[in-house]
Amino acid sequence: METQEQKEEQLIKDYNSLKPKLIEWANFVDLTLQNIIYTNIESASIKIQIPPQYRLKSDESLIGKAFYNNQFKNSSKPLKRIEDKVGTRIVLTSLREVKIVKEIVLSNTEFWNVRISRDPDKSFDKKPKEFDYTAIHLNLTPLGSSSIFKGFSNTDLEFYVCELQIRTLLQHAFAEVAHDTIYKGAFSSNNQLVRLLSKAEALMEVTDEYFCNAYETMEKVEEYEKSFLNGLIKLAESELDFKFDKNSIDIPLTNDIFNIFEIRNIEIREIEKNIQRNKSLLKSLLANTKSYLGRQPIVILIAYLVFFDSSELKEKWHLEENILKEIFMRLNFSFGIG
Amino acid sequence: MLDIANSTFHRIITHKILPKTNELDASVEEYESILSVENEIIDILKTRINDACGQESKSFNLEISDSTEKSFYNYSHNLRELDDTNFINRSKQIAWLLAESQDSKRVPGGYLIIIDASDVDNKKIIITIKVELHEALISTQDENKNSKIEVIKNIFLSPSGKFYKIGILFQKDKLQSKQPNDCFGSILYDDQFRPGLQPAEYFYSKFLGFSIANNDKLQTKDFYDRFIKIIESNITDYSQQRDLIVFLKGLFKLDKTGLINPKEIGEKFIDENLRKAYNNEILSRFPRSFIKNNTLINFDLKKRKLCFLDKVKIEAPEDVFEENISIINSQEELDAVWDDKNRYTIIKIKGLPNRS
Repeated sequence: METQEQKEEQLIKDYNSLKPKLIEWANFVDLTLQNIIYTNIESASIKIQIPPQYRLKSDESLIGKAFYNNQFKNSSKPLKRIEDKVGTRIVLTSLREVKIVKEIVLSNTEFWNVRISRDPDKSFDKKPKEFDYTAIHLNLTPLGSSSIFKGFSNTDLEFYVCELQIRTLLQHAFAEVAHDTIYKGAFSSNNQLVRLLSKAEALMEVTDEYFCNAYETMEKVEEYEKSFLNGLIKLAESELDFKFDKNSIDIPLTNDIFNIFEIRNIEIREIEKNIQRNKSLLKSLLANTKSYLGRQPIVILIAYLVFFDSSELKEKWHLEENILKEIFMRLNFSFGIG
Repeated sequence: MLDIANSTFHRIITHKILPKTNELDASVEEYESILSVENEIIDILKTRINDACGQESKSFNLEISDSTEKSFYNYSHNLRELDDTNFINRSKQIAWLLAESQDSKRVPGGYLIIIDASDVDNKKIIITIKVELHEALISTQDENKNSKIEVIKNIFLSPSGKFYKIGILFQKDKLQSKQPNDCFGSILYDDQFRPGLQPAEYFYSKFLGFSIANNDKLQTKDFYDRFIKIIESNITDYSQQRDLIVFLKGLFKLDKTGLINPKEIGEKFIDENLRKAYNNEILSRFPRSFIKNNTLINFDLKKRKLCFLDKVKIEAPEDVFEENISIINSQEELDAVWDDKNRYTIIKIKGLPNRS
């Protein structure tokens, strides 16, 4: 009969034979993941905080899980059942982003077979009284058609699952502090500690939700501002035959001006009417204003404000006065006399 | 429309105006050449002219009333067509016209700048600027880092508008007409200008041959009516409505400048809630100041009325309205009037008032 030592040696031997393909597969997952996120429209605004970087389970850890863990100790094929031999994780900013990336991974079935192995939303449905502030876990199994696994049977492919975790920054921080070091460590049976961590976990989940709401609000504001900015650019093109260089747009300055002059109270249609009434003056403004501001689409908004409410414009203007004086001059407006 | 920003200054010439003294009349020290000016100077000139005469400035439109042979209009309206020699000679005649207009010792000397310009459509613009010389201080530091303040004398066209006056003729269109006012618009900037007052008369009237436009009474009425309409349409609270209308009437009755400056009124008296309507209805229609002429609104200024549904009105002279008529707003007020009913009449009227 095979001794425990022999069993462990055999497991590692088998594991070593899997490693080259596991690494190749995990590498493919990392690259593909970044590609599909960057090319997906839904994820245009997503900020990857920590890019995916796979990790192979250590031999020791594998032995521990296969033979000394309640879940696997009676399993006849622990190497197959352990699905986190190789794992990768991507850390994002908000829960909203986590959900978007989850959907992207689930929908890109031309790269992998995907199965949700852990989803906090689903666990909440089953165990509403428990906090489960953990990442989404997805198991990615190679496809038979994959060039890496040519000639592999479906049963063989099941050995090469890559576990993908999609986390927020807060989940990541919690996992780093609590999960990996304490839950797994010597304090797992310390009820007081577990209680404290549960409280922290609950608090962080709420914080994450607040972040999520904040991001959603920011995005709505940005959406309005982006569409307003696009409106100005389009008006310049269609009404004034002037093309702004989109790469030179100073977004912080634009947002600053948008905030100060409360663009939510201004309809782009009003600006359009103003352009139509004063076309030649505005054309000459764009053609002759050599300053930095003249190359920014917000100059159209500022020109509108000169016509519409020059007093308020002067009152709220916080940049160099000469910049504004030049615009007044180009539009034949008096800046006042000392 | 006058477009200074995009205009071309073709020729500029100056002549020195010597003031009238006890012994001598005002005269001209004639300069013989057209100035060669750098772009920076053109920019300063355009800025000063625009700040004085551009939209929302304190300048105003006048009418050309003198187009006789020796008038400014006659000397200047065809400057564009003259060759340089004739342009210089004509500019001297214009300078002498100014000197002759300066028939008081109180009028200071200075320079007359004459600019022959045109706009993007090649329409003529003739600009004359009478500048007075003044002094300013400058702080300097020598090689030993000792700082000192020095006087600079004889500067002109500093941003202070008190030291220059501007008269502009601008071609309205290219159609030929014998009427100067059909062909040219005329604009005056003069910080000292008050209708009927002498200090400014030598410049706008004797020199430029401009006069207060006949349509001032129409402009005044139009401004007044539009302002009333804005108040009525945008303010629902009766007492606020009444206060603003009382202010407006006061402005027309009591203001001594003789000018209405819509821009200044907007800045000083219009709250944010009325700003949009004011800008749309008033500033867009009255880009410059205009001369106040109450002829057509005198009747309105002297009376006040409250209008209700079905053309029901209560009307009284403005100066006794407050004393004789008031709206009861509380039970206490009603009780007080009831107790004193031998002195007051209580009337019930359907609807809310919308006009004082």
